[in-house]
Amino acid sequence: MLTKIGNANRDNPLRRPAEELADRIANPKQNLIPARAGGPEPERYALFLAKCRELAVTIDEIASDDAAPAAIADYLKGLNLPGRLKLSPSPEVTDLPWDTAPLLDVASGAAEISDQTGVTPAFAGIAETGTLVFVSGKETPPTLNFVPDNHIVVMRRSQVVRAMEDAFAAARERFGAGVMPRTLNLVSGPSRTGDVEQKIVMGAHGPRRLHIVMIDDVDNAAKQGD
Amino acid sequence: MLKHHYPKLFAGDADWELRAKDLAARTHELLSFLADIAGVTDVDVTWDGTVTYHDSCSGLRELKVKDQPRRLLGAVEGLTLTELPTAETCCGFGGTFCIKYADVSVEMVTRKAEDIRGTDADMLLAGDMGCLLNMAGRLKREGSEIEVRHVAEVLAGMTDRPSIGEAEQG
Amino acid sequence: MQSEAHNFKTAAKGAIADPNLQQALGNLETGFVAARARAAAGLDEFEAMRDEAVALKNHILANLDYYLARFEERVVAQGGTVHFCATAEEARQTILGLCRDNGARTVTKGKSMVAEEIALNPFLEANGIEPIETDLGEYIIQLAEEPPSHIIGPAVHKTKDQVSDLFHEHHGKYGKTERLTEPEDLVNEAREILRQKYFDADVGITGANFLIAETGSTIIVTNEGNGDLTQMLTSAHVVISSIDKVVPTLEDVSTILRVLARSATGQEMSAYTTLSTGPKRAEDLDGPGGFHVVLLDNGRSDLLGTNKQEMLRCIRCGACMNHCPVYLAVGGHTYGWVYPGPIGAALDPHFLGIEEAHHLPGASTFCGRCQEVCPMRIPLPEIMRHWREDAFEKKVGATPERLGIRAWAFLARRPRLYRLATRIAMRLLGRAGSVRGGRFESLPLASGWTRGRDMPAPEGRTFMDRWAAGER
Repeated sequence: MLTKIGNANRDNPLRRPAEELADRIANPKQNLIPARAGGPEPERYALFLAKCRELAVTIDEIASDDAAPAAIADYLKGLNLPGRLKLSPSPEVTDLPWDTAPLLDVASGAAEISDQTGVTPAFAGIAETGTLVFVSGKETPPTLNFVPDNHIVVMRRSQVVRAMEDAFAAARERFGAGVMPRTLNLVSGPSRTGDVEQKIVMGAHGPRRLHIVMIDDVDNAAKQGD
Repeated sequence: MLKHHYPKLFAGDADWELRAKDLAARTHELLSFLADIAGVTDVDVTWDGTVTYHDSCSGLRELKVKDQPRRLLGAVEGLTLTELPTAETCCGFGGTFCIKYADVSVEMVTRKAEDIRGTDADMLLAGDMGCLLNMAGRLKREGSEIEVRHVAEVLAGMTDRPSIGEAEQG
Repeated sequence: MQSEAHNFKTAAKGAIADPNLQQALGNLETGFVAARARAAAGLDEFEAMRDEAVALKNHILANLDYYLARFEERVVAQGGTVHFCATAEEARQTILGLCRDNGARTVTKGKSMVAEEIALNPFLEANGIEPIETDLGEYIIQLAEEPPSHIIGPAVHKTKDQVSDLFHEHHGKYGKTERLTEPEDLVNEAREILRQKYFDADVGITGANFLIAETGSTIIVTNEGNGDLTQMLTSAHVVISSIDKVVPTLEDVSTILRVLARSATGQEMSAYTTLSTGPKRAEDLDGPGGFHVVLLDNGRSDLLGTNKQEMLRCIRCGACMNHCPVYLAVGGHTYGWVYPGPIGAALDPHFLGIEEAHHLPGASTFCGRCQEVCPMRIPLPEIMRHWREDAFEKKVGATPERLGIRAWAFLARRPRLYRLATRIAMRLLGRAGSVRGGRFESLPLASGWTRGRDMPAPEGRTFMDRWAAGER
C-alpha cells in the first residue's frame, strides 16, 4: 500500500526526501500560536481562569498545600456530596494533609464504577483555552479522569502554560522524543453533549463537574511580570 | 462565469486561454463596476420606502460583491435598507438545479420567501437575474405584494417600469 | 451500508414533507452556524491558521507513505500493532479477528465514520458479537436502527420527542419505565444504562481524528467522554481509521485542532482530546492490554494525483453540511450513503461509482458556502463539477437533460443562430406573458419550476436587440 502511495505521489512537487521529513519530526517547529496566549504570567494565569470559567469549570484558589483537604471538604459540602474520595496514588495528592479534614474518607487507586469523586493531579494547564492536561502512569490512572461523577484536580499555578505546544514540549521532555504515555488527555471542561436537539447537557458520560483546587506557588516577583 | 470559469475552461489552449483571460480582465459585475471602478458615490435618485437585499452566491463568493450594492443604495434618498438575516443563504436557483431538483429548489426558495416577508420590506433587490427570477416567482405564487427588482432599476430611477413578474399597467 | 444514493430525488421529496425532520434541521441551522461564526470571529489568527492547515495537509499528502511508515514504526515501538487494510472487507475481517483473539462477546464503540463506511456493526452482529454504540447520538440511532445523518451529530435528524419515544420503547428492560421528555433526563438515563456496559465489554473500538507520526499516537476528539471510557476499560483498544488521518508532529496537530472544533461545533476545543499510544504499560493500574490500529485505504490512495485529491484534506468537521442549504432542506439520509452533504457529494461517487451517486454532485446550486467555511479550504463545488463532467462523459443521468446540454452547446457555438433563437423565444414569451399579468403559472418543459413558483415573463426583447436599437 505504501509503495502504491509513493508511486501516485512521484510527480508531486511537494514531495521531500526522507532525511528532510525525518528532520521535520526530530526538530518540530511551532506553527502560528494565538497571540492572546502569549502574555506575561499574571495575564496568562488570568486568561486560564477566565477560559476555565467559560467552560463551566469551577476554581478554588488556595494559598498552600495544607489548605487543600479543607477546601475539598467545603466544595463537596456545598454541593451536598458525600465525602468519599478516590485519590490518584500520586504523592502530589496522597501527601496532602488529609487528616486535617476528618470528614473526608479517602482511598487511592484506579477508578471503580462506584467512585463518585476522584482527585487527581494535572500535568499542566493551558491558558489559551482553559484546558487541563493529564498523563497516565502508575501514579495517575486515567480512569479517575472519566469514571467518577465529580473530578477534582489539585494543581499549582506554576503549571499553567501558554498553549498546547508548551504542554507537548513538556511531555517530550518528560517521556523522551517519539515516546508517549499510554494516555495523554486534554480536558476542556466537564463532559457534555448536544446530541438531543443541539441543547448542551453536562455530564454525558464523563464527569458532570470539573473543579480545580489551585495552589498558589508563584512568588510575587513573577506576578509583577514574567 | 466569464471572470473565473472561462480562464479555467480554456486553460492549456494557447490561443483561447489568452482570449479568455483578456475577456475576464475586461468583464465586471455591474454594481462592483459602478462602485469600485467608476467610483460612483452620488446617484441623484429618490425612492421612498424600505428595501431588503439578497446577496447572490456567485456575486458574493466568486466576485466579492457585498459592500458595493449597499454603498450605492445608501446614496438613494429616502431609501431604507433592512438587512435580510439570511441574505447570504442561497435562494435555490442554481441554474439547471432549479429544474432537475425542483422539489429541493422550491423548498429553498420557500424558506427564502418567508425570510424576505419577515423583513417587512416593500421591495426585494438583488444583482443576479437568476436569483431574482426565482425569488420573484415564489413571492408571486404566494400572492406577495413585495416588488422584486434588480438594484440597477432603483439606481437608474426606473421603478415606474413593471417589476419582475408584473405586467405593464393598463 | 447499502447505498440509496440513486434514490436521492424520491428521498428528498419525502424529507421535505417530514415535519419532524424539518423541525430538527431548523435546530441544526440555528445552532451550529451561529456558533461557528462566533468562534471564527473570536480568533484573530483563524484565517491564517486555515492557510497553515491547508499547506500542512498538502505537504502530508505528498509524503503520505513516509509519514504512515513512521507512524507504524512508533506504534510498534510502544507495544501496539498497525494493520493496513486495502479494502473494507479486509478491515472487517481484521477487526473480527481481533475481537475473537480477545474472546469478545460485546464491544463498546466510540463514534467512527470509517466504521460506518465499512458497515462494521451489522458484520459484527452477523458474527455473534454485540456492538454497543456509546456516543449518545450513535446510541440513539442504533436504537432506531438508522444510519447517522450527520458526520458529527449522527442523530441531528431526531427531535427530542422522537428520542423520548425510543428510550421509552427500549429502556423498559433496564427497569426504566417512566417516559422522560427533557434532554437532561434523557441524557442521564442513557448515561446510567451505558455505564455498566463500559465495564462489561471485552473490546473497545474507537475511530481516530488524527494519527501522529512522531509518537505513534491516535487522537480522538469528543465532548462526551464515551470514547475514553470505551478504550480504557476493556482488554483491547482497537482503533479503526483511514490513511488520510496521519499528521507529522504534535505541533502540526495543534494547528489542525484549533480549526477543527471551531469549524465543527464552534467550540475552541472539544471537551476531550485524547492521545492514545500503545497498550497499558506494565506498571499502569488501568488501560487496555492490547492496542491495534486498523488503517483503511478503501480507494483513498486512488485519489492521489487526481483532480479530486484535495478531498483527502478533509478533517470531518461537518461545517460544510451545517452551512449547506441543500443539506438543511433534505437532511443527511437523503444522500443515501455514509457521508452526506457537500463532502458526501464530493466523496461518495468515489466509493460508490458515479452511476450510483450522480445525484449527489448534481444536487448542488454551487452556492459555494461549503468551500467558504471549510477549514481546509477544499474546493467542494469544483470537485462536484469534476464529478458532473465524469457523469456526462460516461452518459450517466437523465437523457432529456443530456440532450438539452447538447442542444445548448450546439447553439452556443453559433452566435447568429443563438441570437435568433433567443430573440424568437423572448418575443413569444413576452407576448404570452403580457396577457397573463407578467408571469406564467405553468410552462411546458418547466413543470419543475412552476410546481412551486411562477415564471416571471420576459419583457419581449433581448438585450442584444435593445442595444442594437440604440437604447443606451
